[in-house]
Amino acid sequence: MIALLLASLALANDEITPLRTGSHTPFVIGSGHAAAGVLRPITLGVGEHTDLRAKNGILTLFSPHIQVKQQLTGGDGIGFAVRGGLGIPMGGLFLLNGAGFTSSDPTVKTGGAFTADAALLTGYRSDVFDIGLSVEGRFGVRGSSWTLQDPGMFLLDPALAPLTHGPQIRPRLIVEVFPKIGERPLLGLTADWMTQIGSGGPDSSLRMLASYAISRRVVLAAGEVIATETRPDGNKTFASPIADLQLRW
Amino acid sequence: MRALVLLFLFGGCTKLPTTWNEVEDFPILEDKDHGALPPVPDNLRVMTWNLKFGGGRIDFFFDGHGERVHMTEKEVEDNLQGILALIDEQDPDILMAQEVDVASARSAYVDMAQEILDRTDFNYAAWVPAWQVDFIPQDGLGPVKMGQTVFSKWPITRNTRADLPQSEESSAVVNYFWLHRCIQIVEIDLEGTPLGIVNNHPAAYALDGTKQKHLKRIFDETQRFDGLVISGGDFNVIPPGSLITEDFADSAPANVPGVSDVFYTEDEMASLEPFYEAYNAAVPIDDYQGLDAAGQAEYFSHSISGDVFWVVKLDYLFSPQTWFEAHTLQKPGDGNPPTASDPMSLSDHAPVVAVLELP
Repeated sequence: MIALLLASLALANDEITPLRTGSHTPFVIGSGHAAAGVLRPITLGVGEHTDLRAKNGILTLFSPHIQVKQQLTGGDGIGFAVRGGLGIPMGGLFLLNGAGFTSSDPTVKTGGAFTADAALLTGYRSDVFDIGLSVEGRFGVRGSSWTLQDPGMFLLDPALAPLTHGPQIRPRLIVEVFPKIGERPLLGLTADWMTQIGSGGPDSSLRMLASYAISRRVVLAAGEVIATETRPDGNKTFASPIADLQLRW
Repeated sequence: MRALVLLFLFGGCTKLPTTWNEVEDFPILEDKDHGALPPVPDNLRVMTWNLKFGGGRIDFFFDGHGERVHMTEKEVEDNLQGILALIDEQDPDILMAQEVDVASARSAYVDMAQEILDRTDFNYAAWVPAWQVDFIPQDGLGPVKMGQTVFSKWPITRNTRADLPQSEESSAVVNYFWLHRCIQIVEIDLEGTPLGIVNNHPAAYALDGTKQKHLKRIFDETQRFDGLVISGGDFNVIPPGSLITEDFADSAPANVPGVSDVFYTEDEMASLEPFYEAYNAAVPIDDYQGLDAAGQAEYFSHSISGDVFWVVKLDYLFSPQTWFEAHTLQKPGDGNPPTASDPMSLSDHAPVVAVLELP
């Protein structure tokens, strides 16, 4: 990680603000730029108007999920984008089996499954804030041997929801504010609300995050996530602090 | 600054287990569709049964005999149907049940307290939690919500949970996710006559004296009732004077704490003596102690393995009133009426049913 950090700093040669990556907004990071964190999804600007994202951060190890976002209109001001994604969770679940997160029961099978999602995104960008509003449809296809039930873990459930609960619609609203300190923003404040509507839901989450650029390429982030999950015995609310170290270039 | 960091790391984090006050009241369920309540008879049929969360004879990883963790909904329903059939044929007026899951991933989130209430002749049910954790990471066990339940044909007017201390043998991490055993104290209104029920499931595995502490608390709670009371349940200890106290045939082949190399100490067994001295037991101790090993075996009510017939007696009924017609339902044909069910296939505990003479 340290080597990667130093390498990214050494390779830095442009003026991109380290805080804005267009997460869940219609705006893209820009060709040649990238962002990644321990928790934050990897985002690569693969075209002038196209981003490639490997979602779920560390959970990518367990539930690989990639998305492509194509910005249709907008620079600053109102923007529109479409996004599509594919998840292949069975490999990760196989790794998780017996590790404590999913059942080690030998009769539980997870092979042959994938999730797909498609979203419409709109939003508004100014020099000090981004607003993004998106609606995402999600569904899952599982093989005949699939017997995994709801793993009951809210951090894992959102990735597996269309497989364990059926098709879902996921509206999302994100507001990011970048107050200028000196010549450029060093601080980002994010409020990110999402809900899942569909079988097994509604489930909701609210992520509040403060990001601070300690250099042009390195961002520290800390905050809290609160999630409400519909459980068989009623709603359950979870809360957990989150912290991240992110690189931008 | 340090306080802020600690607040951030721990203060904003949801606690996975639920814990309870020393003494806490819980809701009482009523079958909304019940008609007129039956008249209170001269004698009550009382049953105690550890239902093993509807697991039947599936070999779970914690039993040391298998690898199963989670049941399908169909498996739970099949096992539950067997339990319901036995309850139906024995027709107890009161059932003191232990290990009743109401929203656990391992039992497909089936609410067994509600299911039993809805699908039997009981009209009231009272459930208290003993183990409620939002996620248990061991083998992906996941959410667990298990407790003790008293079912009754007549109105339940009180449902109190009294907390019991955890064993200090285990690590803090294990205890964080482990169950919090309790005494369930229930009062039933028998047409104006209050009946106290003390439903129990004390420590099973602890060797540090926790089991004895639990049994002492159970005895003290039972003693609080001046009038009519029944104290019973899965006491997790064998009667004093048992001829076999170790080397049980159901011992787990794998080295799993609590289920392999099980033994009972004289001190543990002596913890039951106050009950036998103060109350009438459905199976009197003099009758039990006067038997040879084969005779005592007829009262055995627990076996970890479905392949090994009952090996120990762990389940009890005590009351100041007189018991008669006590049966440990070990196999088809046992009991009055004779059971058609095979209790060996329904749980790792046999139901104990007896008739209590009312004053």
